[in-house]
Amino acid sequence: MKVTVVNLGVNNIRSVIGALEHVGIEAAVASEPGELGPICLIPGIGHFGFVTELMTKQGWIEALRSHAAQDRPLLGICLGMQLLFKESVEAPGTQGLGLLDGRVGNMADLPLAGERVPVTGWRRLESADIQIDGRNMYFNHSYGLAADHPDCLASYSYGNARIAAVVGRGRIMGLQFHPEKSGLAGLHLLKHCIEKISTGSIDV
Amino acid sequence: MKRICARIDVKGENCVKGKNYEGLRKIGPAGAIGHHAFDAGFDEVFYIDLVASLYRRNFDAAVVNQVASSLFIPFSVTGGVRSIEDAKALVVSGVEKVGVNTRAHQDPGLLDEMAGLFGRQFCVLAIDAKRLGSGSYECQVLGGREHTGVMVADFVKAMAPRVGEILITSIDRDGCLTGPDLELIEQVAGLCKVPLVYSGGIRNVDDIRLAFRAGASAVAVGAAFHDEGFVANEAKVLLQDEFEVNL
Amino acid sequence: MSDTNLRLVRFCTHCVQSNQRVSPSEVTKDSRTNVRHTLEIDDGVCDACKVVAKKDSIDWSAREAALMELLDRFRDPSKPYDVLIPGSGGKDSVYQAHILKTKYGMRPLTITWAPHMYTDVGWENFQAWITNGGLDNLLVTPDGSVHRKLTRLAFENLLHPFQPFVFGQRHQAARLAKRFGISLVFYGEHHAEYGAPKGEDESSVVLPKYLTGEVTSETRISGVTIQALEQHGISRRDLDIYMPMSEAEYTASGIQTHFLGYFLRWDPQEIFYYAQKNTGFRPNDRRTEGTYSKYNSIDDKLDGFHYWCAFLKFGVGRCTHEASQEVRHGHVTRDEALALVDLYDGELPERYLPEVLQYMGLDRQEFFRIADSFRAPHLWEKRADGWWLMHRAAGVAKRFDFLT
Repeated sequence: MKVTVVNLGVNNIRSVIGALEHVGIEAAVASEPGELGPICLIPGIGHFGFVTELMTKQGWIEALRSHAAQDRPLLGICLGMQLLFKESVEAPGTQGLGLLDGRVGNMADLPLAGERVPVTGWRRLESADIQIDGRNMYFNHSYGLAADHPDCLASYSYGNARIAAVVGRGRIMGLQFHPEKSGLAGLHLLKHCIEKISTGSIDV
Repeated sequence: MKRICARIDVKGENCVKGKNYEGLRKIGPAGAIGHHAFDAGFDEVFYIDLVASLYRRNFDAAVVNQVASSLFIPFSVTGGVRSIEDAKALVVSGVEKVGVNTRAHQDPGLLDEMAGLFGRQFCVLAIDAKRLGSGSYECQVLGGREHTGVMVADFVKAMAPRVGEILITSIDRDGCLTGPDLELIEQVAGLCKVPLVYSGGIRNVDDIRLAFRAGASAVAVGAAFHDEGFVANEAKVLLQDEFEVNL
Repeated sequence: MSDTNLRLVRFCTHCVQSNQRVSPSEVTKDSRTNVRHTLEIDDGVCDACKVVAKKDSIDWSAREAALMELLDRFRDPSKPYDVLIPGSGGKDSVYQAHILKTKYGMRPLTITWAPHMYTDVGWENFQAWITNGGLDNLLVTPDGSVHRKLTRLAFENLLHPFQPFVFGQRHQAARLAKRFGISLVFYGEHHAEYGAPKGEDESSVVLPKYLTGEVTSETRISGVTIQALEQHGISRRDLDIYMPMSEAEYTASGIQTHFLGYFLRWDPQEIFYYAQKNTGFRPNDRRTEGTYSKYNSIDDKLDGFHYWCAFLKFGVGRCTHEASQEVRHGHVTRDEALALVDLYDGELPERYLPEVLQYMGLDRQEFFRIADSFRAPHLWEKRADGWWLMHRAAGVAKRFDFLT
């Protein structure tokens, strides 16, 4: 199995490549849209507005939409997950990939009962998928989605809110946390998710 | 949700440890120590180059290279970040968060620029606090070499909304294993809404418990880890009765 | 070491110290014109670096054995004290007294020649030394009105305001040792580690010439003879507390004075750790002016001026001194030392300047006028915009002017 990691030149691809290789998945790097492979991964870190602008200019948006339209597996991590949606309140007026419905909201608008934002630290996942349920993952985000989103596959609790940790539909999946920074459990989960979208659809 | 992080002070390629930011003694290679931190169950690593700004150089890329693809917990880098190019170089090399101290006083707009490109949660405001008297703390920069005349309370109020996290270090407690400065934690926790990481003087799980109760979201343990064999996993087991911890 | 050689300024290629640095003198002979021993740099490496480098090949267990053998000869439970340690409660004397007491079973009397003006941290560390360290201490304070007059005269005549202090620092130990019937005195760091006449590092003995002297009416302090000081309202009796015993008396007394640093491997940074751990020694609350450190020599408000004056006379200041030491011990690289020297060497100690001016009874203008008059002509150049130091380790001239 080979996963192509999107390299925008301003994001961290090293950690996720190290993680993939650690679990025996070959990693290739796409530094321009023409280099996208059959299975793609969009890593995290970045400001929604800045990144979408950059991606639009360089032709990534079109290329990734086309990739998804061909029912090819696509995994987004952290900001990479948020990019799967249409838009984000972090950057009103800019467009994401729009592969999943909805808008990425501000964590601070959720009923957090005094918990601090950004959400920075380890949370326990709850999911119908037993390979995901009960695992602790590392989160670091100020924007995200509530768990009541129809494509939410795993969530975590924070204050009085339930927040989406894993989203997905068809062969598209997004992880709000950083599996490449979540210890060995994170590495296994990363592998599991990639296998899930690569071998079949995640829709049961 | 509380975190126990490892504090790894760095000079060049080596981990060093000082007392009150004085007398930096070499401990060993910084990359390897990051991996030890993972083994000891720490949730996160804070790499801090105390003298980068003093010597006008950057955090040693060799250290980041040693951990970027093989350390599977988050690690941040603080030290010598003076421009957006410095921050970008660190992002691309594998760093989860970047901390700024000295430069934040000279050019606070840098943090806004970093947030605009990499997201607010990428930015850590690192403050070195020197106690002047009861309830009164001053910011120091350049690895504790210069005082700024700016009070910690004022700086936190002004800067917290622009960053994703605050790392507050008590210079008076640094390396001394004399317990945390709870007054400092309470003061800063009350002035910001972002996660607060406290560093300085933490000896054991009891100190951590007090620090959490005082309002710290996380602690960064230095000397206790480097010199006294502190293991984060053991502490987390004992703390889970009162706090949510990563176990 | 002749005067003409000194016109050629050279810097050590290993540390950042220069050949202008003067070594400890026989202080009763100091005058504006006497020729002093200076740091020798042969094949590009200075004597201080050579001495410190030798420490790697010294058999320290043999040295410790020699120490224990020496102590065995003087240890005496029948007497209240069997060793005398002069010190200020700074990290060095904390270490000396503590280790001799706790590890080697001696009972020290510590003596302190009072600083001109205690800093807060200096006083706290002094108290911590005695209380947490558990030591008897004798604080010897000379007549304040005399001391300040001498300090001012030393500033005016030698640009060496610390010179009268050095008298007490060097001479009181042996005198008090004799009075208390103590025959063993320990200083700390071996002064050869900073530069001293060749060969002195090979012995632990502090040579009597540094501790004793013949006192006559022609003996000078602050650059003025004892006789001439009468005109300043300072009598011979006023000066007694500064003066040494004669070498003959010293030899006859059986007192021995040694450098502890000869027997126990000395690293100032490790000493700091020891002091902090054992008596709660605290560094300065801020960087010491003129350098980057916070824990070296922080007890006297006048201290910074000692180094600053030396900077004007010799072109190298406190930062050069400390950074060079840290290069020798492997704590900073030479490049880092150069960067630090560039940042801090020659910095005017503004923090205590007002108090020091008041102490010496000078105003700012006079103070700087006197200081400027001592700038060594072969080191400094006066340009339209002020004074420039032409010889620096970094190789680039730099402006240091204080009157604007």
